[in-house]
Amino acid sequence: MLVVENLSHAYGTGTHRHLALKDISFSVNEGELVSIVGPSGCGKTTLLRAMAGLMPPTGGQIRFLGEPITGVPGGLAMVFQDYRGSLFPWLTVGDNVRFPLHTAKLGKAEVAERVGESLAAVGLTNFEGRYPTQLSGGMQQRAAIARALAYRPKILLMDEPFASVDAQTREDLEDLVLQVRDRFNMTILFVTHDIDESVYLADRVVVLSKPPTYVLTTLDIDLPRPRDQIMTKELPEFIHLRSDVARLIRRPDTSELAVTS
Amino acid sequence: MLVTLCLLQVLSWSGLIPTTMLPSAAQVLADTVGLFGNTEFLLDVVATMEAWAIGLAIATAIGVPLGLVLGSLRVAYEVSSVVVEFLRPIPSVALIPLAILLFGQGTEMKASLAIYASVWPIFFNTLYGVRDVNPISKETARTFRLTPFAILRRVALPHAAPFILTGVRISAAIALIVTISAELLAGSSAGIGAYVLRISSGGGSTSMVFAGTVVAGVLGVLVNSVLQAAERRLFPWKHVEKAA
Repeated sequence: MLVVENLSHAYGTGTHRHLALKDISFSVNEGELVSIVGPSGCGKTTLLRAMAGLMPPTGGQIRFLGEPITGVPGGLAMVFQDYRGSLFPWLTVGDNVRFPLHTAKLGKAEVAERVGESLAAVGLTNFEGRYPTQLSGGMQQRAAIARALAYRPKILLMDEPFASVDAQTREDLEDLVLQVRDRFNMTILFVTHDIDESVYLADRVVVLSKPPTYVLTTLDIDLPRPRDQIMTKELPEFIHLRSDVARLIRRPDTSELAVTS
Repeated sequence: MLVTLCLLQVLSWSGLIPTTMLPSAAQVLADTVGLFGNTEFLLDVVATMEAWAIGLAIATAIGVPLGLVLGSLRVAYEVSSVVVEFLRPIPSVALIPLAILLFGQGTEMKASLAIYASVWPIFFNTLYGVRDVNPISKETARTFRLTPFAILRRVALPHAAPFILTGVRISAAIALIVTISAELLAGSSAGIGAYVLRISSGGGSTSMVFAGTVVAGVLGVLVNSVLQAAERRLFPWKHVEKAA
């Protein structure tokens, strides 16, 4: 569904040229939940912006549904880490969710149905008339997820969506992602710097190196579903997987290791 | 306000300043109340308000779109900034002779000066409001495939709206000042400024001149409070209680 081939990106030119992404290739198949994890500053956001068509990369190619990405493609929605910036403060929660549906030429009834369904899916049915600033951070991010759901994307990109909420809320939101994924049969690409989160959510984890960034490895996560915050995380397989990822990311000489392996 | 009035009253009782120079506060208040029964004066007020309203409306119609466009296109701003920085420091009062030549002494002259003076706060507030939009807000709109024009209308404009209204509020006072000044300096036939000029040059009492000025001040306060009320109604999200 989404194929990234030899993607590279450099900022600046000449002596100021800084290679952020060196060589990144991976793909996301339909219905998959793939997480991308890497050390902080490894260009995760750059990668995601390129995949969303917000910024052309300086090298390589990204194809979405077979077509090369040149601008923002249809059928793609993004949930940003900064929900305060992403939700529009002058719109109520309901109107925020309605926002992307204006361009879709839908009937009134269909719009109302999608808004209701999306808000129900994230547990915000009773907050439709509130303004974002009246909600807690976790609820604001739920609203942003509801908006993405109402858009009915073929793929949902999530850029460290839970990095600014507390640990308890974070676990709730992770489970929410798994729920909506099952319910709407979604394809999700989830970017995070949290190793546990990447393993807990995903079918596959793409592990990135320090910059200039390339793919260290891709791990299949064969943990049973449905996943559970307590039971899944105490499985020996979970602990092994998270340790593998942690070693790859934390070890100072990962770049040499991965090149030789 | 009350303290100032009392102070003025005490000052005139004390006899330190002759009442021909500084009339007693009570006298000014009495004359002000009297003015509201004076048909000729009320027509002056209407004349001032007409020029003021036309001037402010046109300044808004120019300042907002200009601010929106120049605020979202940095290149356009760089190009036009020379013209803007050249025009902006010219005091509108200095343009009165030119305005009289072009438009005579009536409403058009007053309104044109009011436009010139009041377009700047509206323009700059719109410009800064548009520039203040969170980049993530714009990216969000882009990921939903909004066109640049739709982003301007559905993201930049609503974000800038409170800034714009503040600009209009600042400009409302400026436009009123300029309209009355123009009436005074150009010798208009009608308007609060014309009234003040008539009374003072016709040997009228100082108190009556003060009363005219008080009415101008009251108008300013009224307009400001109407716009503040509009702000609360138009931007409810600015006034909701925020979550902890």
